[in-house]
Amino acid sequence: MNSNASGVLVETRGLTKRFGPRAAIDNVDLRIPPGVAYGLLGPNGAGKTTLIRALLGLIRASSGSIRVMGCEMPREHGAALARVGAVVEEPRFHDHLTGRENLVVVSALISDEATQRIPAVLERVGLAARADDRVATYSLGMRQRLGIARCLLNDPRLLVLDEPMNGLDPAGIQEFRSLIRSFVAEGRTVLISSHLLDEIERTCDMVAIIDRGHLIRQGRLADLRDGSVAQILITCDDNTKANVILGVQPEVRAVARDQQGNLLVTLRHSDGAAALNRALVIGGVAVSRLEPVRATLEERFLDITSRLESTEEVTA
Amino acid sequence: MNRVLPMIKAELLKLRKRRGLFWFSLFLSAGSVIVANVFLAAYHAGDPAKYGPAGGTQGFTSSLNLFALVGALAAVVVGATAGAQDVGSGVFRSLVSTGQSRIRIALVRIPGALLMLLPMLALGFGFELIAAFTLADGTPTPDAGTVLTAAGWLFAVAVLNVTVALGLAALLRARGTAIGILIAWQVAAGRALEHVAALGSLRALISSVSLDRFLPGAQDTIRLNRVDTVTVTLWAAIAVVVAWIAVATVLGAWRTATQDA
Repeated sequence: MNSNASGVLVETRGLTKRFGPRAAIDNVDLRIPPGVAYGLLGPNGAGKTTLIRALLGLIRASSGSIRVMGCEMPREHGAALARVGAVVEEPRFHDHLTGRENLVVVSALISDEATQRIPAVLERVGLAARADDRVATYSLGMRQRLGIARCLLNDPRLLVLDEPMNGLDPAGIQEFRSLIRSFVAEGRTVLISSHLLDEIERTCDMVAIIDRGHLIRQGRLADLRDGSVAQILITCDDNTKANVILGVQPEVRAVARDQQGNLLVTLRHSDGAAALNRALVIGGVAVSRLEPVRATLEERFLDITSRLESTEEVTA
Repeated sequence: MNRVLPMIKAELLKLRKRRGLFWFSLFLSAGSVIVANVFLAAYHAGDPAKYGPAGGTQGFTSSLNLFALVGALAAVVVGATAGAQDVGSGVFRSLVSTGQSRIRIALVRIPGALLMLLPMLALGFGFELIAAFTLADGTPTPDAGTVLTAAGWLFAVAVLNVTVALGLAALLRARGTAIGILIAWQVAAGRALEHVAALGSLRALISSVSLDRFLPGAQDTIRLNRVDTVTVTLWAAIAVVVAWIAVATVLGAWRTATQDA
């Protein structure tokens, strides 16, 4: 029960799930390496939860293959899920039982060690003091934490958290983020689905962007940002003259002004900044600032999805 | 991953901690016996010539009619709750995510539900036995054979109704609907079909008819409300009861194993 030879903890190939004629996920090739916080990013209805349910064997895939820690799903689901903890959609419990009893119910399916781990996991998520209260009296934040506690019962190598920040207040989100990072620091892998770009950007090391059932991009956050349209910000003594010079440069795709009056230059290639600087100086423009613009994940996400939409429009 | 015993204990925990279910089942199984005997004893004390004693062999065998109703009802409610509570609460998904066998998750519900119900029925049966001997008022008391036969019949009523309710609730993924259907079957449909003489021996397939074959004093022929008779051998009755249990269990387990979580 390990990640496979290529160092991938979770791998899908051509994974498709259809509900009638509609493909909720379509031909998805996902690769999640060990030891990272991996974000599954997409708008509501993109197919994130369906993908997670398929990974966990909660639904049967229509076609394609799934390997979790080297085990084929769903054929080897017992071995594959032995070290996986998951909260899919909102965490649900037997409301008439206490938090501790809910963990007893789940640990009964796992191992005696899992049952022995209950006090420690309750302590870890900060629920020890309320563990013997009925879950019906818990707030959403407490339920989320109890869900995490349930995930930790089998000392998981992989945690799967579906929209874990939903409904949490800012303090709760901050606390959750710290908890997730602490799991990664322990060497665990955390798969988080979210429609909140900001959350993924703050929490995750890697991301897969999914939209309308298709996996559009996956990779390190930094790589995704770097793959965006190259832009540089220029501050100079004569914007009008600079505009004329830049307008005839072959590297330049477009020139605009930001709210502070700086020039925002969109390049055809990410390595054109030095040539522009040289052209401006030769043209007699004094450049006081020339700075690459670092795209946010949000900008990159919009860039990717808008390009996808325009491609579809052209195809149609 | 042999987790059967802890899983059964967990099922029992889930049922036992439902306070409403616990007290309702306890009242049906044991409280109703006390209430019935108090009333019967009071009637007998008021007019011994008109009303026989609450206890004795006659009182004991008559009380089995009460058990047939309230015991079966308690079994249906407990079984249906056991069959649908994981799906109803949304916890089923978390259970499946552990990697545990879905079939095992389905099957451990049966002993869990029986462990909840049988002690309650045993308590009620115990009260009835005490009443049979202490409220006999000089009439004959049940012998060991009668008591054992009645206990066996009650056990069969409990097991059959628990498993059928559990299987149906798992199949429908709905506790209330399963309870409604089974009460309608127990109180109306099944009882009505018993009296359709045109069905002949096919009536042995009705669960309550075959269960009655295990009643004290029942031989091959069962009298249906003193109007009609149907012949059921002991082995045929056993086969029918086992078939009901098996079909309900297989359907419930199949649904649990194949449904999306």
